[in-house]
Amino acid sequence: MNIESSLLKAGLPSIVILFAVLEVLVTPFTSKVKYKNIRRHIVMFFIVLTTAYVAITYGELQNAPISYELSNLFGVGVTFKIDLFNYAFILLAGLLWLVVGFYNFEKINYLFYTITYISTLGTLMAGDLLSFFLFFEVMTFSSYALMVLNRGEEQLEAASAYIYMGIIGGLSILSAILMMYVYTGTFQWTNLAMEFNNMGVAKYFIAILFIAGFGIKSAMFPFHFWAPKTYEGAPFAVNALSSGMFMKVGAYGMLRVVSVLFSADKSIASVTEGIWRMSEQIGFVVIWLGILTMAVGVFMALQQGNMKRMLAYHSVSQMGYVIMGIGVAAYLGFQGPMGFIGAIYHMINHSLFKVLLFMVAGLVYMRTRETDMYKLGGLWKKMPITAILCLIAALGITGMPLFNGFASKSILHHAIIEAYEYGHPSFKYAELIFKLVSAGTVCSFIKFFSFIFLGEPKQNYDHIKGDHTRMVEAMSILAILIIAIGMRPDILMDKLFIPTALSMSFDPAFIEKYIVDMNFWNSKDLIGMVGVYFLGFGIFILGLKYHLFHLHLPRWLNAENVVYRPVTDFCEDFPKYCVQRYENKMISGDVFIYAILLTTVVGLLVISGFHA
Amino acid sequence: MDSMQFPLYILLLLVMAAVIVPILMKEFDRKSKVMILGTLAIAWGMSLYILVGVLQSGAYLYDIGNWGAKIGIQFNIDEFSAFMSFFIVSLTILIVIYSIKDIEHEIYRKQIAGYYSLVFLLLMGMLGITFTNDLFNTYVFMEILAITSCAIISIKRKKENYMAAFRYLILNTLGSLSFLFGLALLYMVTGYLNMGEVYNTISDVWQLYPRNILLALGLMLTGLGIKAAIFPLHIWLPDAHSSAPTPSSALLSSLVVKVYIFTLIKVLYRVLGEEVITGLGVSTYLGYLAAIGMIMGSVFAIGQKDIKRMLAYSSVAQIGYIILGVSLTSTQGLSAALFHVTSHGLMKTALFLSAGSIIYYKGKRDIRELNGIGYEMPITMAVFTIAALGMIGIPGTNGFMSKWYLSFAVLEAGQPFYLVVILISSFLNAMYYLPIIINAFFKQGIDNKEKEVSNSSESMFVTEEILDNKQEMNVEGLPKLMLIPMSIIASLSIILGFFPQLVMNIIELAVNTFL
Repeated sequence: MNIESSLLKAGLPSIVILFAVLEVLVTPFTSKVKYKNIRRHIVMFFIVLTTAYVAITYGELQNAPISYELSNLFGVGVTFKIDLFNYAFILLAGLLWLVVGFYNFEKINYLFYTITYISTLGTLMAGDLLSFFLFFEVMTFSSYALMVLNRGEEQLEAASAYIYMGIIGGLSILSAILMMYVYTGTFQWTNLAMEFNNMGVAKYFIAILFIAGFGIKSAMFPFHFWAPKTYEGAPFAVNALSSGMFMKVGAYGMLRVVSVLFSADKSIASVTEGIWRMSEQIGFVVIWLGILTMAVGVFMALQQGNMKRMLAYHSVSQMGYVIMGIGVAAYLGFQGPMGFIGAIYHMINHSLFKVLLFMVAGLVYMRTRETDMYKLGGLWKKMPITAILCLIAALGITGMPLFNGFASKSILHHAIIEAYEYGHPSFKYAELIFKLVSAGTVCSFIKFFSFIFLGEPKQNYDHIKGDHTRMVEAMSILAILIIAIGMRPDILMDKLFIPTALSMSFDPAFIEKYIVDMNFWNSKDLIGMVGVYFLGFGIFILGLKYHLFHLHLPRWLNAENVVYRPVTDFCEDFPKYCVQRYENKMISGDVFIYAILLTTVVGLLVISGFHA
Repeated sequence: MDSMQFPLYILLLLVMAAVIVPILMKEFDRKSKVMILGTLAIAWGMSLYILVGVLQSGAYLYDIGNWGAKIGIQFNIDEFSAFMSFFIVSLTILIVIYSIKDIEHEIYRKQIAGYYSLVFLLLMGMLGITFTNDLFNTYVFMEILAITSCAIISIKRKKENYMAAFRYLILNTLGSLSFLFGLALLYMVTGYLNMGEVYNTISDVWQLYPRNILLALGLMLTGLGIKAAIFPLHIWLPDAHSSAPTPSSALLSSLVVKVYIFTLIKVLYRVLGEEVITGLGVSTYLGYLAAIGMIMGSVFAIGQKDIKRMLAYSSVAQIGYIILGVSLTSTQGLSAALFHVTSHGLMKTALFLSAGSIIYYKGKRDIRELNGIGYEMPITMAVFTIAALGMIGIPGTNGFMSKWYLSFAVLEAGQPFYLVVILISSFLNAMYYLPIIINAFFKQGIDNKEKEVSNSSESMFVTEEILDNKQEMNVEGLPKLMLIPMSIIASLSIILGFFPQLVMNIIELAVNTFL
């Protein structure tokens, strides 16, 4: 190894250590309010430094991933790795934390802000599943702290869904890792299709546990209900981070699992018969889960009046796109790079425009103190720049050509068509739902934009202030990126996604044929998009005319009442019942229990003794 | 080797101290505190020396008075008993340091001397039971333990303490008697009381006298089951551990119960041997009991209002984990169980001590009244949080590592059903530990309510009031002598969470002598 690359390798640990030392030195002196900013600046400086450091490793990554090994930790040793796969996400995380920190106007705790950042990086960089799990749990807990700190009791109540679901998710991932470790002898990110093929039913349990665990974090149907519930009371900045990054980490984990663990090694991928069968079965389920997630998300979003809830449901719906992409990658196996690239691309794009949308909503809220969009209106005169930024983000999320959403959505559209062509005929309907959901998204954002910014200015907002310079600056960074990616969608593809896909076990010939030099501006996709926009506009008109946006679903359809409530109710009521009914009896009947138990123990032993 | 005699010296030192301390101690002043801690420090040094000696030159058997193994008393100083004794003494020192401030608060002044005398005897009993390789000697130490632990519960002189202590006494006598019957039956069959000798003969005779051995095993298991609070026999534990003074609760819950479990392991693997217990199918039933205990202990804990009572029920669940590991009759299972013995010892001590600090400082025992306590007692609640997260099994704490080892052992043994039980139990743990943490840090107490400020302003970086408060209140009204032991235990938990091999290496050496 030459000096340059070893210097590069030493960079990240030294930055982290430097930061830890600085924190320890500085924290005791910053308890006074006037020194508070010093600590903020150190945190920001740290984030800039890490991001910049990771950014310059790009050249090195082309040759080989940079890995760090901590051989003594946990008794088995863990590794951390920067490779082309997580490179983009690490940069994205740095960008989001900087922009959101710059933008933020509410009280958030900078200690947990830093911890969430570090744990997100740790999760992304984890070279094996154990370190992944370690940081994943830290991320769950610290993001919970961000969501509830100083937000009052109602938010605590609401966010308990998040933390308990998070714990369940963590436990299911842990058990999947354990089972994998026991049955295959490794918890590295390696290709295990061969081992899974020779395994009994256990592989399905492993797959289900992994997908449920990551699905909870990425708000997959039927675990999505925590998102709208928690987002309603959480700070806008935290919502932005949550839907921009924490959900993505869940999806990232799922993508890693299906594209690494469940896939076969390159050397045997195309020759061994039946090696992709498991991946195919999992993929089939995951595609439909993704489709359901996006449909449910957009359907629920259409009925919301609250900006936060609506954006939360849209996050769910957009995560549905990503999950569908992951499903296609798994379903088509060797031929699945389209789904793979679509999923990564859409994760990044969704981060950009959803964070921007949350920021817009936050700014509107800061000026008007109102989260119900039906009560807003005509704000474009007061805050024109915000309106333009909102329009950019909305065009991004709806998939307008020249904005970033178009690129990833059309790749995902290609992916689902491929799934239909190479696979099962039922995906024809999936493709239909895909279009319908896209139209629903268009309708929803026409609604979002027009209710907030268009229409007659309301009387009570005559005296509010307009755009806020610092916040608008922060938001414009994202808007510029949205347009830049929209204009040249091929740069990210060529520089990052295609090399990543080539390093995975996908068919290189397939990538060469369909993905390299893909033409984003073909007439079919463009015409399809126009159709979607017309359909969305139609739904909007119909909805307005017949008041469809105020419809409410029957309570029994609510996933929370079906999935989460029964469990928590049982967990609360059963102990109470046990304690009230049995505790005193048990304690006062001590000698009696002893006598019975002694008899049974001896009896059992005697019986078993006769058999032995 | 000159450290050969040390195990006996420790016991003698502690007995002497138990007699001398109340005589010399006129008042609970600086001199007597130094005396108490000095004695413990000497004992700690000796146990450290034993541990180092054993790790360097291997395990050894020590005959008291050179009477020979068949008639005399024998000590078995192997890797784990040396480590266990070191662990016991170290934790006791930390608890005693904590107790110096706390105990004045809990019992009458004139009884303090008696209390420390009892603690010395208790420690002596625990060390003796760990070292001994003789069944009857085990029984003797068991009685010493039962009586002293009963006394350190009832020393508080309240009605519920007397009730709890009486119940404890009755049940523990039943347990001891069962154990005595069991060992008498074993003696009848084998003619030995020395564990090694019994083990050597029992493999020949157990086919001949299956009924005798079964009965003996049943009696001994039930006796030890009562003392170790295995689930349906745990009924004395919640009352006893919750009403006792905090240092006593910590000692009883984190050490005394563990010592009985260690004895149980010895009886199962050193006296009867793996062949006999698998042949009799005992391990299967133990596994079922453990699984029920893991779930029901947590279920009862969720329903509790009193924080110490909740911790006591949580012990019942955690004992289930240990017993599950023991019941697997595999190397991994046993090492997971022994690892959990140490890690639960650390976590439960931290939990009891921090709960005790809350009671000491705020006088609040009810879980629902602990809102916002994290800002008044940040260090205490940080300790509580670390230990509670360990109980839930969050990576980075020792609790996660024991869960990891245990789940691994369960799967290796081909019993994935128990993995489900472990996961459910972990989730239930979260159900009763998390609300306390959440209420302590994220809810504002009644005193703090007026400090609430509106949640927005427009400065460049908004300051957060509460972090300020936290840092300014760093002093925390609690005495340093109570804070330091807790912090040491919490940091040990974290160190073990990242480097479990520090303990695991010793355990792996010891496990081979069991199986």
